[in-house]
Amino acid sequence: MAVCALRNSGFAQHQRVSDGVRLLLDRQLPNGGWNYGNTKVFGVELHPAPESTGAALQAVAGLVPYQEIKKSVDYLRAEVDRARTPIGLGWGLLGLGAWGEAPQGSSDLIHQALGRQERYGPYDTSSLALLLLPLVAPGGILEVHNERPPM
Amino acid sequence: MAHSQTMIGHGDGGWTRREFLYALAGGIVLASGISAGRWYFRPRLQSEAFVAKASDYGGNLSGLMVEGFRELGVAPEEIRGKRILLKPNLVETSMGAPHINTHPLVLRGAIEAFLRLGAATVMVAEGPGHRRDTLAVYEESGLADVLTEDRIRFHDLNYITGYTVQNIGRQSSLRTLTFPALFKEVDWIVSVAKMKTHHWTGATLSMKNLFGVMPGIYYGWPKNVLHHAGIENSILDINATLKPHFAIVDGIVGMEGDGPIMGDPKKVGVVVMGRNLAAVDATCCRIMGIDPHKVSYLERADNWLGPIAEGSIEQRGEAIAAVRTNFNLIDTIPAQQGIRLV
Repeated sequence: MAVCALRNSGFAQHQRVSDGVRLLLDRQLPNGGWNYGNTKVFGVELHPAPESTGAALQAVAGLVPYQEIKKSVDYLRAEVDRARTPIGLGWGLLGLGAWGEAPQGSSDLIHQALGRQERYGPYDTSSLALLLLPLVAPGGILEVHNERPPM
Repeated sequence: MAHSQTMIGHGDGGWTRREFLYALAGGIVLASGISAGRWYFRPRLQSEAFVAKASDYGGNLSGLMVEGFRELGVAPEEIRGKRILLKPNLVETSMGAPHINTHPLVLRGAIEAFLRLGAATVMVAEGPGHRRDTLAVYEESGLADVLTEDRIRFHDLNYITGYTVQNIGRQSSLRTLTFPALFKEVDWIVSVAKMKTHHWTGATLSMKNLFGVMPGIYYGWPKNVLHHAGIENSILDINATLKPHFAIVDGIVGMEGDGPIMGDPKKVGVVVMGRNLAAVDATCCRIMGIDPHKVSYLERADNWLGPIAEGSIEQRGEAIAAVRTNFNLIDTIPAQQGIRLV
């Protein structure tokens, strides 16, 4: 999040962005994806989650070679088709979109997720915004602010 | 004549330094003696725990729990009109690993049991420790289907407004704790936990389950503030401050080994219930073949938050020996070393 915020604010060259990217790559799971922080506990690899994987892919997009995150993209591409929640689907599509890997039919997935409010009630504002964001920025959230001049 | 000893006080009644030090030492000895005496003679807390056999999730779990209420002296008059909040253990979801979470049918059983006793409302609330996407965990655990069908409301505690109170436990350095404001609107908080070993605390049961009530928007994921303050300290602080009312532990299929997520399923076939969480957890430990006195946070809770000594817990229902099923403990995990009940 901090890396995304700095990049969106025109501080892409800031040292903390480099530090953040290095940290994220260090915490990438060996078999792809990101958990909530650690990669292994007592020698056992943890499970990846779509929301954290999408956010991390979004943060490092364009700053690291594709090969370094390919396993995570593969994981997320397989996962995003079954993601139906605003947080999982929203971050999943943003992360893939940032690498030009958004799946066909992203819009349909978003509309299906919107339709599920009939079951769960209205989504809160931040969840709704996150779910809709890939429609506005199919190539990731950096697109939203790409007009901003560097500071 | 020059005094070699500085006078403390004035006039004939003044004390020499030596007299003062003797008096001080005597006072300390007396005070510590009184304190030790109070500790030694402090009446032992007593509680009850109910253990019921349940071979699978398809049985009459609500009937079993109503029986448990009766055995534990929870009368309909006590529940009638009350607003009940059930807090399950929803950690993560993983394909083919339903033993990570409290089974949805255990929650359905608890809901039905409380309603049968006349509860005004029953709700379910959880703030998963690891996943920010609570809705995904809620759905993939199977709980959404059950609660939707039963028209029971689920509250996401991770993204909920909190209220802050003094930390009564004072085991960690946290001066205050922030709980969901929703808790002000309920009468009973019930920890509906899973019977699991844990790689940081030895065992995770009804007391540890309450980590999940702490909102993620205040404490982070996976409740980083609490981990930084010390897991065991935080377990004690949360329980001492929140004072939960009841515990139900799903031990029908538990988790052994590298819990709370990566462990293996362990069929035990029990549900354990009680008013006192420490007593319930100690009973669960004995069923799991774990010595509760060697689970650090339970030992620290003993005779403070509840009794954990076997002689202080009246067992109702099944005898522990009849259902004991040793859980696999991993030698390389420090929290699981040397805790086997002999």
